[in-house]
Formats: sequence, structure tokens, C-alpha cells
Amino acid sequence: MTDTSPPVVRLDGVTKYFGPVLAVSEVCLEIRQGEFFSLLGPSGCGKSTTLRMVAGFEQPDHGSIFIQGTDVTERPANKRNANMVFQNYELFPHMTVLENVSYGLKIKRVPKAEARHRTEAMLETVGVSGLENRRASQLSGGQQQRVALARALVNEPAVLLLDEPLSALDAKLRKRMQLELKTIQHKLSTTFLYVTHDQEEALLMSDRIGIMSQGRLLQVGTAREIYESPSHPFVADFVGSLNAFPLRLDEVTGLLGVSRLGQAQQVTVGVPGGTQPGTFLQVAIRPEQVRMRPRLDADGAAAGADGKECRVYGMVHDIMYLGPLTHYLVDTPALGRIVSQQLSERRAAPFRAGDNVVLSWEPDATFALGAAGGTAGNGA
Amino acid sequence: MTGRRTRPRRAGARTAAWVYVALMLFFLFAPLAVVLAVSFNPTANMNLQFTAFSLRWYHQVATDPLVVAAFRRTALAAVVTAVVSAALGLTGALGAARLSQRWRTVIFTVPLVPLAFPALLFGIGLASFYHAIGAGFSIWATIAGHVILALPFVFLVFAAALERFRFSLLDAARDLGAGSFTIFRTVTLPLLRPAILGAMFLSMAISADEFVIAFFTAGSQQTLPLVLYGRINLGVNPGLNAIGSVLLLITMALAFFAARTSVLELP
Repeated sequence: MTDTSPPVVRLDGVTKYFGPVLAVSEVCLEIRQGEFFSLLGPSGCGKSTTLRMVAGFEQPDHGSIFIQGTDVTERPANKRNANMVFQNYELFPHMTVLENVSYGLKIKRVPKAEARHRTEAMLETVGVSGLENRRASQLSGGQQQRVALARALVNEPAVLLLDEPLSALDAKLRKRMQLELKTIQHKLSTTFLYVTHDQEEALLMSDRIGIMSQGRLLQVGTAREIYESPSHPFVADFVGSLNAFPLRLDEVTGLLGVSRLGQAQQVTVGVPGGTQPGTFLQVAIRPEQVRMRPRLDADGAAAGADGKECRVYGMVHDIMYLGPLTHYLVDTPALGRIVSQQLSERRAAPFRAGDNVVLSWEPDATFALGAAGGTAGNGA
Repeated sequence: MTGRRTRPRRAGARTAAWVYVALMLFFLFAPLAVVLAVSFNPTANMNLQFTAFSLRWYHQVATDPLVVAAFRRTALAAVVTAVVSAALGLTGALGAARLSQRWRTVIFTVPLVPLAFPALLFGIGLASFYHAIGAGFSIWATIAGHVILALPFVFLVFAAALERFRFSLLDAARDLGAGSFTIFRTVTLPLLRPAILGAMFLSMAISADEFVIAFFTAGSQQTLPLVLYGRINLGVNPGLNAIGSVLLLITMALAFFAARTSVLELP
């Protein structure tokens, strides 16, 4: 946290109930100037509610919201320096594109000539110039998306709030808009607060991501931090895919626990200080970290137990070809089914169902999800 | 209108349907057509032997001060009824639309109850009420009655329009800095314009040919239907057909505009 500029948006213990249901629970968050920040989580996790509270459409039951250092918790939506791009765009159907985009400027009594100039410049920026006199109903989904973006951005908000703005677009257009959004954000250096349930989208676009589940903000970090060092089992499971299995630690050396699985099979995992041998842990490994080679007769007799590399034996159960990638579903007697993700080979997969293989991965690629069984506490 | 268009129909069934519709329209409009036709007939005996086309009776009623005054009152009543019932109906329906589904059903059903109430009893009740509160009988008393009469219909028009209304557009306007009044003026009102016009034409049509309430509450300030009724008591006269035709055409035009504006969606 070397950035010393004050946060553009600050949430301080923001809590929201819908009737008896806790929608958002004590969320604390700081979003920096010029940052692309995503709130990521499954539907119903409270991310949209959090966004709507920043916009001013919902009132928090507890906590405060600051925009540019000012407490706006009690301010109505029309008095906040934040603008929203809605999921369904919400363009005014009785107005032209020009009227839609200049609506906010007109309200703020920006002189006509300047408003016109700014509107046209913004339409140009988002790539829909020439459509000024069309109505919203005459635009394609992608064009509506861009107009909605322009209508919000032309007001030069301190923070732009985006509520799953790409979810109504088809996959191809969606990919293109993701990159364009990022480009526009970079060009205008506006702070973006983006809500999505699409992990890939969040990883691709965001400077930082906040993962939400059941109203709580579980982890905030860069895409790499979230993916490689998830601090919560839910985060690990929600972002990317996982092989998860319980593990009994046979030895603990410093911060490294080792589980010996016989025949030179072993799994090592980083553990908190003071962890005792005999502890059961739920651990996980990402499929793309799992290497695979044919099993030889020499395996099992050979050492390998000295090395820290994790390795287990198994048999290929099924092969799923996904284009650039291939997933091998491997049944291991020691850990159950493990998925290994490999780059696809041309023409044919190097393994077949029924092949005996050795799976291996770097010792620090394994990460603990918490005590086995999901409950806290040491030992078995 | 929800016929199964996709299913091919037999030609016989189709012909029968057309004959049915034609007969229905004939019986519906034949009496009106007679009134209209006879009003252009210059002879004083009311039969269907046309001698010439004449505006004699129209001229007669247009120069009759009593008829002209009644026509003005009817127009006034129609316009005021339209404006007041549309304003009340719109605000009521907007308020009701924000309620939960259960309360909305109640609110949208209760105003329909007076529709099932005999108009005669309603008129007598209204007259007794005015008498009880010491209000005199006048065109304004009639207008108040017309507003009550039109309100359920107006309310229904707005309820239907608001079912399809995207309230999230109001959020968008607020987000862009608009206050409540500006949102109403720049988003709500223009988007509901077809429904508002439809509701107003509808209530004008209801008011313009309303008889019973006017009969009990207008006192000496008679509306056109009352004058028409009064003249019939004095003896049938082709001039009545002219008054009736004018009333008919106005009501039909209003009904036509009401249907057109509320059915047509503005882009």
C-alpha cells in the first residue's frame, strides 16, 4: 500500500438487511484513484447491493460510504459524484442518443454548446459517433452498451459504477467489450467499480478484485494474489478450478507439512507455524499445476521421498479435449480423482484412458483450504 | 384477438366468423346510422323517405341558445373531468404501483366496485350527498360525479400502462442528477403520454354522454344529454337527431382516439 492518495470510494463497515436477510455484512473497502476494481461473487452474494449503496439507490443499515473523502451515506443518488451503467442499460426510450447522453449535463445546466461538444466527444471515445439522432430501440445491444457508458462517463464522475454491464451481450461481443472497457478506462483514467459474477472477466479487466460471498467481502487483491494465494476456501474454489482433498500431515518441518502416501508418493503443503504432525487439512492444487508422465516400473522403488516434489500415482479415467487445453481426469488411490490440465497436443493426446501415470507438482503449489471437515481446530 | 392464428382454419368457419362480425356491427350501428341519416333529412316527419340533403336541423339547433349553452357545459364538463380524473388516476396508480403485489391487487380492484353499482342509485346517492353537505346542484356538482364515474376506467388504463413501465429508468434519471420533479417531467410524463391521452379521451367520452348523474345533480345547468331528454318529452323533433348526431360523433371520435393512443406504443 504505497499509494498515498486518498481513496476515491471508501466503505466503512457497510451493512444492509433486506427484511431479516443479511444482504451485505460489514464490508470495508477502499478504492483508489484511477483503479479498475471489481466485486466478484455468485448471484445473491451482495455485490450488486453494495454497488447500489455506493450509487445511492439503497441505504445501508449500518456503516458509512465516502466518495472523495466526503460522507455521502445520507445523500440521495442525484447528489453523489458517481454514475452508473445499468445491467439493462436503462436508456430513455423516448429520447435520441444525443438526448440520452446529454441528459446529465442538461440537469447540471452545462451551457448548451459545451454540453453538445462534450457529448459528441464522449460518443467518439466510446465508438458510437454518427448515431446521435437514433433512438435507443434502433440500436444493437453493443451500441446500447456504449451509449449507456457514454451517458454515465460524460458527467465525469469520481467513480463509474458498472453493474454486470456485459451480461446481456453474446460471448464474442462480450470479449471485445471487455478489452474496450479496459482501454476506455485507461484513456479517461476514471475510477471503475465493476460488479460481475464472471471470474474470467474480473481477472482480465481488474487492477484489484474483491471476492464476495453471502454478503461478506472475503478477500481483496490483484488477480494474481486472488488466484495464487486465496485466503479463504471459498475464494480458492470460486476463482479458477481446484482439486481439493483431505490430507493427514505425517511430518512438519518448520512451515512445511508433508504427507507420505506410500511407494514414494507424497504431498507437501505450507502450514501455519505450530502445526502438529497428525493434523488433518483440506488442501488443494490447481489443475494446470499438475504435471503428468507415464508411470515406469522403476517408480515407487526409487527415492523421490527425499525430494520435496509432490507426486502421486494414478490411472487416466477420461480425457476432455477443450481446444487449446486438454483435461485429464486421473483416478489416484491416494487422493481420489485429480484433474490435470495440459496444453493440447496436435493430432492426438499423448495419453489414453487406462494409462498408468505419475502426477507431480511443485511443493509450494499446494495450498491449504483449512482444517478438514470445514471446522476450525487442530488435530484429529 | 388471441385466436390461434397459426392453426389453419377451414374456409367455412372463416366465412361464418365474418358473417357473425358483420351482423354484430350492423345491429350495433344501424340505429345510430338512422339517427345520423334522418338528421340530414329536411322534412319534419321522422321517416326514412329522404327528399334531399339538408343542414336545416343543424342550423336550427345551432341557433337555439338553450342547446348552445348546454353544448358549452358538456364540453366544459368533459374537459374538466378528463384533466381531474387523469391527474387523480395517475398519481393514485403511481402510488399503488409501488406497493407489494398483494396490496396492488386490492388497490386495483376496489375502484372497480362502483362499476357494478346501478347508475340510477349512484345518481340518487350523489344528489342526497350534495344535499346533505349543503352543496347546490350545478354543472360542477355533475363534474364531480363524472370524475368519480371516470376514475375507475382511468385508473385501469394507468394500471395497465404501469405494469409495463420500467421504473428502473427513474433510477437512471436520478443517477444522472435529476430530482423527483425533474424525473417526473422528463421521464415519467413523456413515457406515460399515450396512457394519459388515452385516459383523458376515455373520461371525456364518459362525461360527454353521461345522463343519470347529470339528471340528478346539474340542476338548471343542463348538459346536452339532459336537453335532448327534455326535448323528447316535448315531442319528437328532427332537431333532436341533429343534437344526437353531434353527441354521437364527438363520443365516437373520443373513443377512437382513446383506443388509438393507449394501444399504440410511442417509439
